[in-house]
Amino acid sequence: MSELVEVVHLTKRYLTNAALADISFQLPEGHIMGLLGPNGSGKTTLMKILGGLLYPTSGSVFIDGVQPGIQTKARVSFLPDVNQLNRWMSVGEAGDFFHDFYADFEPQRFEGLLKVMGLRPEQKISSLSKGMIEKARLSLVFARKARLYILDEPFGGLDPLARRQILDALVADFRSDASMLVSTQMVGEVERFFDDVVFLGSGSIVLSGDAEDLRAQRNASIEEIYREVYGHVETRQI
Amino acid sequence: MEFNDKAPIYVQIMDLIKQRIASGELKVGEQLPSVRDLAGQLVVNPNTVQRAYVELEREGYVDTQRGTGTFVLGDRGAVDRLRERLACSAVEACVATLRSLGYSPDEIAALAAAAAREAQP
Amino acid sequence: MWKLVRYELRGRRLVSTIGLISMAALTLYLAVRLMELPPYTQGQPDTLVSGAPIIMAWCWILFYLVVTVINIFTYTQDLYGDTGYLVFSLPLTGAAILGSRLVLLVLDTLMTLLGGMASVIILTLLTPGLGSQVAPHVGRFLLTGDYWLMCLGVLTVIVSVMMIMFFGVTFGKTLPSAKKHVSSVASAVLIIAVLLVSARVGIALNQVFAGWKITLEPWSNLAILAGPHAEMEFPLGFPLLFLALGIVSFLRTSWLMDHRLNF
Repeated sequence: MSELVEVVHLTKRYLTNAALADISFQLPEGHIMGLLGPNGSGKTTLMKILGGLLYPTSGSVFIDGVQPGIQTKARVSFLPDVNQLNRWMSVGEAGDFFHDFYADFEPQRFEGLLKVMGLRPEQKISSLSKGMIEKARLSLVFARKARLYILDEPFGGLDPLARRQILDALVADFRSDASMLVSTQMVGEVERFFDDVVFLGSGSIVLSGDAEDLRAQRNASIEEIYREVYGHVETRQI
Repeated sequence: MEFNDKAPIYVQIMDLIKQRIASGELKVGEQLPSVRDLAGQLVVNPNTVQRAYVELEREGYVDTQRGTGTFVLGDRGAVDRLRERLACSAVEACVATLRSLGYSPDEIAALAAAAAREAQP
Repeated sequence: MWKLVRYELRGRRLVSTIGLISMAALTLYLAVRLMELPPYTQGQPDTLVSGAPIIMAWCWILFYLVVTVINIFTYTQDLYGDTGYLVFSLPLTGAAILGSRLVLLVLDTLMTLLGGMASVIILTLLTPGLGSQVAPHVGRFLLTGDYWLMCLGVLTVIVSVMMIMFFGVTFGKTLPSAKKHVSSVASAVLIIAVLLVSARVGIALNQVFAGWKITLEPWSNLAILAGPHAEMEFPLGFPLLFLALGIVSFLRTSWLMDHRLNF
């Protein structure tokens, strides 16, 4: 398996702080990587850089050997943690929009996903509840046959049934020639899907590795390891 | 399916398959579900199922034919031995618990006999 | 880029429709009021008679200012609000994204200009007294090349100024400051500084290149408006400077979007 994503000494600095400090890791093809950490640890910043929305201060990022730009945007399907869709659009129009701009968008797949999620193309985004907008956005992201899926908190605002639907779609969709980078607070529910895990803390990698190896080494679930890793941070704040 | 997230999941999947082989649910020569199908059933990462299959093959329980699928290896004798091994492990674990609670070997035997008679088929 | 223009137009459907309908309604209202007036008699000054076309002209200018503000607002929101995630994830160059905004700007300005002309002409024709004097000349006036040339000049300067504003907003966004309001303040300061300096430089250029003038007679076919000032001299230094700045802003903004984006 070749490395689909390579991050080399990536740093993102702002005037007052460093959002990411010398991060390096690889994500092989066909893997699902969990990006974990508390709010403000740099997860969204890292994802935005991979998505080509932010440019690094120093260091490099390679997706399929290419640095983020127009080429990578055509192959990366990004799900941000906020609703990025125009409210005047209907679900179907959003699909048309994606179809128009992304060559890898598959309309039949989109229709299928909408049915699973219980959405109809005529529904206007502005009329949908928070959870339904989330499902619509996920349908758009997964309807693309991309090389890399970047999902920033894909489960926020979803009830357990909807979460299950998404996870089922994740498994059904799994392709060995694509990879996924997922950040989530719901570690317990999702950890069984991670091949690799990266724990971020204040912009640095605190711990990383194969999920199963970490479980075996520490005799603990990823969620428990999470608490171990960040526990001392919380007590200090008290 | 519920997994214990504290231990590697692929090991638990391997145990599940060994159980099914030992009980006869999966017969010798029978094809295992495809990686994707089993991952969907168990709701886990297909890579994890793949790892389980690879390890099972390494341990000699299954054999993978490229393009065809993964098949249960062995013969009647091997399955019986596996069944015995799994049974012994279960009993040993149970006995250890009861011993730690202070039961004597005779009491343990009586408990086991009673429980076995009352157990639903 | 044109695909993006199509979607952006669709997004503006409601606002544009409401705006245009209101302006058409206003024209219609003034027209009906004019038509109801009794024939003009001496010594009866009527503010509506003397003012209707001018009122309408000012209304269209106001309408254009509103549309411009909406444009700046949507530019900032679309690109740097939540929908920016959508636009900047598209496999498009900064030039294509900016270009679609430019196209919308030109369309807005053209629509306002033509709409304004249409309603002002209609009202002028209906104005008792004024109408009969103007009517025979309208056709020829619309074919006055000089008039359209002047309009093109105005269009160019307006669009260039907007490009400078977009540059300011984008530049503010690429600063390595995590605090949102610092970027906005920085961009606002930058825009004002650029415009002030350009105005000064433009005036100076006019004096330096005093010979660079274009003489137009835009009102030559509307004798009533021309009066003793049939010929108008337009110094070229000022508009050319803004055109140059507009082009530079466009190129620089596209580059910033492609290489320094800090979304």
